[in-house]
Amino acid sequence: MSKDPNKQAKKPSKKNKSIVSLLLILMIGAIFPGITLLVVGGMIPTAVVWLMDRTRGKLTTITAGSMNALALSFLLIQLFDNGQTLQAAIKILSNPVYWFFLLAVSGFGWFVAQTMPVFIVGVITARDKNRLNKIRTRQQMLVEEWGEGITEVPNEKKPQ
Amino acid sequence: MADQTAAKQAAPAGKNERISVCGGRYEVFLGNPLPHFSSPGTRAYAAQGTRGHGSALALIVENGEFPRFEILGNAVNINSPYVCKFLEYDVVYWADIGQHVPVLIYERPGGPRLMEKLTDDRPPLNSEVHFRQLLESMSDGIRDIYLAGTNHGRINPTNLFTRDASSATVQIGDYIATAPCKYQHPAYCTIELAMSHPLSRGPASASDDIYAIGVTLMHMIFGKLPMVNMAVEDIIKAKIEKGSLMALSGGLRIPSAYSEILRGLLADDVSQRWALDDIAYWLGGRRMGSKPGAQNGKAQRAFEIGGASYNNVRLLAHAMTKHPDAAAKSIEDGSLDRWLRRSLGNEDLAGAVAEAVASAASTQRGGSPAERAVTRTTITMDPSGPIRFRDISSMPQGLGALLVDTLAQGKSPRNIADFIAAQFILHWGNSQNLVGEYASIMQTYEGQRMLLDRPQPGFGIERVAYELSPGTPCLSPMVVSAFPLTLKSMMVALEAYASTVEAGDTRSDPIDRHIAAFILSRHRRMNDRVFPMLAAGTNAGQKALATLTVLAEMQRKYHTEPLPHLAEWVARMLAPSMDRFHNKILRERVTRDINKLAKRGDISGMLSVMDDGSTQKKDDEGYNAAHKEWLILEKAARELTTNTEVRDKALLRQGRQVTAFVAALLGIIAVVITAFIKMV
Repeated sequence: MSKDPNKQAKKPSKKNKSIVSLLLILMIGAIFPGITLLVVGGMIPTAVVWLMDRTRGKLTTITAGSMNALALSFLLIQLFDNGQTLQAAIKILSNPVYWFFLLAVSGFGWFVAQTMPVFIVGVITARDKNRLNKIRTRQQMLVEEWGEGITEVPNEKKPQ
Repeated sequence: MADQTAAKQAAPAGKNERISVCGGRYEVFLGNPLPHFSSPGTRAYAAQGTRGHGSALALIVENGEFPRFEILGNAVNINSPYVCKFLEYDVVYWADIGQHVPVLIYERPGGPRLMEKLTDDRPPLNSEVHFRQLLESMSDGIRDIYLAGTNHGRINPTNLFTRDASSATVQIGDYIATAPCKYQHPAYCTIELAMSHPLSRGPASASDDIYAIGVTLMHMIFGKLPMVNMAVEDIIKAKIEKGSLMALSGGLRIPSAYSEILRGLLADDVSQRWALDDIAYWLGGRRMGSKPGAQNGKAQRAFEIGGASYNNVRLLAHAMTKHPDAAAKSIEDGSLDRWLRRSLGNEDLAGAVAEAVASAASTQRGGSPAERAVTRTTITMDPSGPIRFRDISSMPQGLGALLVDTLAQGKSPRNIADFIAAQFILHWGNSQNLVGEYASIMQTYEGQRMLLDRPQPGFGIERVAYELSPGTPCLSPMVVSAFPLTLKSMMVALEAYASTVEAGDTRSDPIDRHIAAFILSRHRRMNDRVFPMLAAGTNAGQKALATLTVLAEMQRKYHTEPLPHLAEWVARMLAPSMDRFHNKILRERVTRDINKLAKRGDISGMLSVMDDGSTQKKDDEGYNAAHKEWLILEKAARELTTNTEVRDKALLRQGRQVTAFVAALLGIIAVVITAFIKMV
């Protein structure tokens, strides 16, 4: 069934979405200026990764961003302890230790995003290889017990 | 009847050496040969019954001779004072001959032969009393043989034994030891038999024996028979041209007292020849009178063939078979037809010949069209004569003996095969006056023709030989020296041969064409469907299984004793047959069992192991399951080994997704914990 063209036309465009998001942030920023500043400022490493990320679905950004958010949550606690003011947020953002912390955790996220899939692939490949060996061993046992005749593949060439 | 399977070993002949035969009922004295009782194809030795049978005569049949075993059942029932009493037979190893030979045990004749040689002269028989005694004893003897269901075929003075010195009463000698009529002198043969090859004269008819009685009487009356010194062709020519009576007398005057009976006994026309009852009437004093024999028409002008001229149609037919090319030409160019119509004046015969030539063309097999035309023409011209084709000149019932001799000598049976394939006997039967009388033999040969058409082991020319000559031993080179007449004795002989076969010996398989044909001819209920698999070139495994099936049936039915050598030979052959079992462990177990049974000589047991249906079914099921499993594994293996690059990319992406998911989860948990802390 084809989609209703009118409905499709009513869907908000990407540009509109960004404007709405910006307005939402500005509104929240107006209500919670300290938190907003700290979050926007603290998520800069994620933004950088987002700009560099060429993977489909921005999976590296999600990983690094999650780690960035994890680190930011500690800063937010600091902010809450200092009264959630804009000054407190500026003070935290001005502290290079905190920046180092943010960048280190985000970098770790980026590192994990780069190495973990390769590791997983390696593990799975090794597991498959082991499985293939077991299959071949079992096949060899079957051939030894029942003869080459069982390797006849119907209507197909025998695999090399 | 003696069990001939228990072949004995005769030690080299010493003076007092004796061997026990026929289950110990007779002893043959090797050091006491009786050459004056020997006949062509046999050696006579003194023998004695161990249970009071008195003095007996053992006829040792020479190598290459095939006794008429099919009539032994009839012969043993003959209890006539005028026929040498046949007692028993056996097959024994004869050291001088170097192989097993048949031994026929007879009661020893009371006196010597009437004549040692047919060419000898003897005093003429002048006494009418003696003449009557001689005639009566011979005709009574022939009657007794006839009543027992057979005929003699070799009545002549060398095969008649005087009973006592005072009378001319005789005893008729052996007629079993060799092929029927084989050693009958052509002078004593009717024209038809004289024209036939000695081996293929077939069993004599009562009428043929009566003719031989007539010749014997004439020989005795004159004390000599000039014809015995003549060549066969001259004998035939003289008998046809002059008639047997005149030809045999050789110009000598026949005493008037005997002229009537001799004319009756020596009539060339079978329908005019006296029967045994006529002889009895004559001896009783009734005068029969003899009708003159139907003379073959004499042509006004002679027909020339092979450089000789012939006025007589029967002689011409005989000559045509000697010169087949010229005969074929005369048929083709119509000169024979013209001669038959114009010179002989026999339109019917000319028409019959034309039909015969046409029928020769319609038959597709058995020699060239010209050869077939000549043979069919000569059958039509001389229907009572033998069938003549290439080097064969055979009465229909004599072809079996000729074929057996041909095969036994290792000669090519091609001519005989063509002879049967060309359906000459069908034409011969249809050419007779009383076709119905020959329906049985025509049917027999049609059956043989069909056997000949099947080239597989168990059929073909070998089978035809055993079917036509039921008393023939198995002629396989592996067993022929044991002269096996029965399937049981054949199995014993095969076991003995198998003991000489080493592993890797490829001289022969246990069942060659002769053995296969012998089995099928002797065991009618044998399943012949396995026999084609015995052919050369068949898959070795199938051949071995077919061999095992046949030999197991033989052992089960005819020889229950162990046959270890034969079994081990078959076990060796069975190696390729083990492929029928897929499972290696099962195969090893079956091989072990087969070898164990082979050592015990249990061929039937070996077949049971090889042919066990439930084992086979389980093995097949296991094989199918293994095959299915292998395919599933192969599919899985292929999935693991194909498109690795794509798979790796997909895996990488999946890894990233998992990593992102876990990281996001940690992030959310951290935010939630932060919020929670703050709220608390």
